[in-house]
Amino acid sequence: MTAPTPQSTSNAATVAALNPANLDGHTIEELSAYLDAERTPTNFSIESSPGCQIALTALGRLRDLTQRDLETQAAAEPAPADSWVQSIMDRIALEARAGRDIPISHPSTTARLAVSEGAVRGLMRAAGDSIPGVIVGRCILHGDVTVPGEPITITVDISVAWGENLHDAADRARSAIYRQLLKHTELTLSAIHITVQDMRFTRPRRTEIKES
Amino acid sequence: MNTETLQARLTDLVLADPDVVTVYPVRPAALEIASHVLSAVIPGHDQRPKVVLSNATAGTTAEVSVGVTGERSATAVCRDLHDSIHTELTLAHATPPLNITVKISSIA
Repeated sequence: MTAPTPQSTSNAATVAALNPANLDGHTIEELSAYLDAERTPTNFSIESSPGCQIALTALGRLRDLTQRDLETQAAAEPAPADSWVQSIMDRIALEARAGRDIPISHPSTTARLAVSEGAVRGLMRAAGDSIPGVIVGRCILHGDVTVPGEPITITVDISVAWGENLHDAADRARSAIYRQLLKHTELTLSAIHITVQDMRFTRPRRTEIKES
Repeated sequence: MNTETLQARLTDLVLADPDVVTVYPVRPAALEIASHVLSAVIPGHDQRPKVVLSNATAGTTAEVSVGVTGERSATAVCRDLHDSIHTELTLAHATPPLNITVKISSIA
């Protein structure tokens, strides 16, 4: 198995994320605007698309997680033109698409049960984001997930808040992702690789200020 | 029982599962939007995405795509939905074999 180079992955991801076909005809910018408008008026096409729902959930979580970061960044330095937030939004758009069907076993030969790759990527992203200080960037499942028992390797890029222990953050993200995959899928996991891709400045929480 | 009634019953059955958040359209988005538009002009037209059912002499096919809560294992929910649909189709004397497709499209 040859892993794509980071540069080629990044370019492919950007191109794919800009393709509305990946989100049932919608773009990540449209979804972001829809979220801004508090999902009113109801857009039936968005609300009935699993890809859009996964992307909206991830976007909402990303906003909550980065609100403090962005305020701090804005005070500390000019926002870069192609910020990491935009790159994560692009990843969300790309990864929310349905992707491959990951089979779920059943004794009946006429049963066709599956969980979509998009649902699994959304699950991994939520698990990683649940770790304090961690925001998940790229999530990739390497290997043929459509074949039961095939060894699968997971690659996840994370951003970690300044001051967090990197090893600890990566270990906790890995454990959280592993637990969720074990609970919700029948994937045969051979490895979960976590890469800390960047660190972010964050404003200390009120409790942290009081404690110090 | 006609196909539409059985479809509605199966959809209600799926939505009655406490771990199911929503039923997603199985058909292409354009058809779903057309159905939504129809519901606005035809009173009583059921706009909900539903279990798609087709009957033929060669057998019965049921297909559904759902979003689940994530509280319980998605694999277990998926199997339970299959078994519930299978039981309902059997009770309705649907033509065997019963080909049932259940897809988990999102986990909240």
